[in-house]
Amino acid sequence: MKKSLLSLLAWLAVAMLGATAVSGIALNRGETVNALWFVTAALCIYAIGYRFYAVWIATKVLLVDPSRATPAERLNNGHDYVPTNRWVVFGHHFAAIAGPGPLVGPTLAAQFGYLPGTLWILFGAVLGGCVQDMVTLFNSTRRNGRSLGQMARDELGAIGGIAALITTLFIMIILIAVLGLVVVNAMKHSPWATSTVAATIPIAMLVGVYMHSIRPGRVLEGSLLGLILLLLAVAGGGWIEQQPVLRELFDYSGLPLAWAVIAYGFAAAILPVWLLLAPRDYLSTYMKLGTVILLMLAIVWMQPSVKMPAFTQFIDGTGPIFGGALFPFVFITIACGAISGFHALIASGTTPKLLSNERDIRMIGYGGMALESFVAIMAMIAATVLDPGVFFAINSPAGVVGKEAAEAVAKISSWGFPVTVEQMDLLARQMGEATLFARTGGAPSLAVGMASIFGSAFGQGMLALWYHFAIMFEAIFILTTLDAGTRVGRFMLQDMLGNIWEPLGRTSWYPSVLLSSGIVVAAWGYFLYIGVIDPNGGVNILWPLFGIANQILAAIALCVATGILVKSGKLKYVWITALPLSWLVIITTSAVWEKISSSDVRVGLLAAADDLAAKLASGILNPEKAASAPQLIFNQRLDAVLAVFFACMLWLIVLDMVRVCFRYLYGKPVPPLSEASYQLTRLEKA
Amino acid sequence: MSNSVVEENVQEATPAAGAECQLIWAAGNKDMARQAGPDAVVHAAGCKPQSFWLRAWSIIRELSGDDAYERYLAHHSACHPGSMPLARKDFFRNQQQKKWGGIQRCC
Repeated sequence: MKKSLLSLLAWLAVAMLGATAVSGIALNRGETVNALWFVTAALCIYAIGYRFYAVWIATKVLLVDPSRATPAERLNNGHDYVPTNRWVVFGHHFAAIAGPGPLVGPTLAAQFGYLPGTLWILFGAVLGGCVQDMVTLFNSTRRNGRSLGQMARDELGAIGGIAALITTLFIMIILIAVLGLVVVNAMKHSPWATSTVAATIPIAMLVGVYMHSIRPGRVLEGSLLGLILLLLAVAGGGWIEQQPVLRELFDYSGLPLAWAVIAYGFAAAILPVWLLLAPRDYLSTYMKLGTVILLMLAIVWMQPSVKMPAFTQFIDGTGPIFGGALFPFVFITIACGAISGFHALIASGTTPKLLSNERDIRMIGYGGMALESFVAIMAMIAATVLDPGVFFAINSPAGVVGKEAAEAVAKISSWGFPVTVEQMDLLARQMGEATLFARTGGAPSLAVGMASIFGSAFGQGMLALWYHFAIMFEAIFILTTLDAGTRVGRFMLQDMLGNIWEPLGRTSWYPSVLLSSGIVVAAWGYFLYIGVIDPNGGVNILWPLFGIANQILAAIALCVATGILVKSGKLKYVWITALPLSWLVIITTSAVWEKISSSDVRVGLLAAADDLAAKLASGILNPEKAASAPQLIFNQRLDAVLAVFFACMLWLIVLDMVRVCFRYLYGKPVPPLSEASYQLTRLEKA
Repeated sequence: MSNSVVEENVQEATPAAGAECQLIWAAGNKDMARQAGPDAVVHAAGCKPQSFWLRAWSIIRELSGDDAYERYLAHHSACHPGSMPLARKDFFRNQQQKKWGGIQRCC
């Protein structure tokens, strides 16, 4: 009794602290806010969500049963089905879900000010993203670790299954293209960044050979070797930067870098996994975990001030980084970190096959997503501790603010965010870069933010080193996503092509491997190429498209979860997934509507295509622009078609789910629940 | 090639042996695998309380997959006695092929 009173008081204190922190950052109208308030607000909200909402969902709605044997126990084969320590599963799950998305999205969304993005990250995660991950993990665990596509087919019917599969393939292609663009923009005319990122490839191969042939399976030894070499590569890039001859070798504009990334993606998809993909993944996982922990310590230690205002005037849709008003575009721009459909693929893939007990579902599903959301909050802090003028100078494309430095600073200062050419030059020199103007994509500004936080915590003298460390850190796991995504796209394509002609479906038949890898690489390579030649930076078009696709995948996952809840007779609890689902349907549908119908050329894809076509016809474009205009016009129309296609997929599956639910409620036959039957566990928890 | 060897081994296991080996496999401990009787119930997260550092080190090894081969050997000797386990190199290659056959990384 006494203990429960104490715990009640403790949780009341957490709630009060959280409420104070949230209202502190929400109502602040002063010059700056201490970043520690963001951390406090986030931790309190996650703690309350985890302790109360997640427990309630687990015990009252899902009826998690610790006595029930998990697939890992029942189907244990020592390979993919293995009962595993909960912390180990948590580590694997988190490493798999946390990619570059939660770093890039909040950085771009900071153009609205710090508040909209922060609130969406916090509440979107606690009420939406964490719930999606947890419920999908639970459903998949109860179905022997079946994938989202399979569950959609079993529970809703063939339409749902096909929609999930096709959407996944498309989102993968858009995702890889936009991430490739982020890397290209980070390496553009930066010999230091380019040479460091290039060095990660032979380093990964060396580690691959070490773990495969020299000391087979010694993962920790190999990774340690690789990490030391990576750090040396960051320092070595600084040396190359100083050498006039070597410098030239690594100094490229966007287009050759894009071709290099495309060639790399193709090579990585057809090389054996042990040589490049697996070792790179080990390195990027350690890098990611290490850097996230370091960033958290630095923020808590330094308590940097957030200088961005709570809201900027760009909530009206005129923002330089991407066009579109606060609603719905802040919810589209930040997908990962608040709610990410991609997680449903992980939560219904490897993770359920490792769970040793159902009671771990809350910690891994809900807790894993809360941690990813926290990464997004840190990215938001890193973006908003910069002077707003500097932030906009780095992230605004030349097509919006002008190519000349003087022109750009005048324009940005006129928005009320003062910045000078000298300030930008000094910053570029400190970071060891030729220029920081118009370095779109989010990676350079995040790296500047991280470097300034690290620099103030661990010594100002090494700013350039920290900057390039941050660039390397982002590039290495973007490239891992690129490799892994291309490979997955290849498998999915081979699976589909196998229905047309059987040999094409064989994953080890070389002609089919080359053909399907080629198609996948060509598909994302096309979007990457267009993104690079686009004077507005490409991110402006590609990132919202990626966000829409990712949210639609989340909506599909929530449709499956909602259908299962209704069919399990839990209609009164259906809102836990139906509410986030409705929100996603509203924001994605309105975003697609804006993208095709808006007359603002920076938002509406068709308006932009018509505008460019009119300019081309009247002959006012310079020869360089006129040459690329037909491609850009075609691409914008293609993107509009894609956006509509995504929306159709979404509505198709939502209506299908509603149909199945109504049939169930009116007692008509529906596909039966595909849950595996109960079996008592023989494992005892330590 | 080596893949099929594993699958055969899995099929060889009798249901009873399967039930037993799950428990031992869960413990991930070679010594326990030898000692445990058929009805032994083993803790899922390791056997005895160890010192903090040893425990942390074993979690790091398990997280990274550094001890995967040792775990496989423990599983193998418990579940498929009499058949040859895979060599370390083959096991590792197999494991990586399997791991990267599906969606492993997110955005």
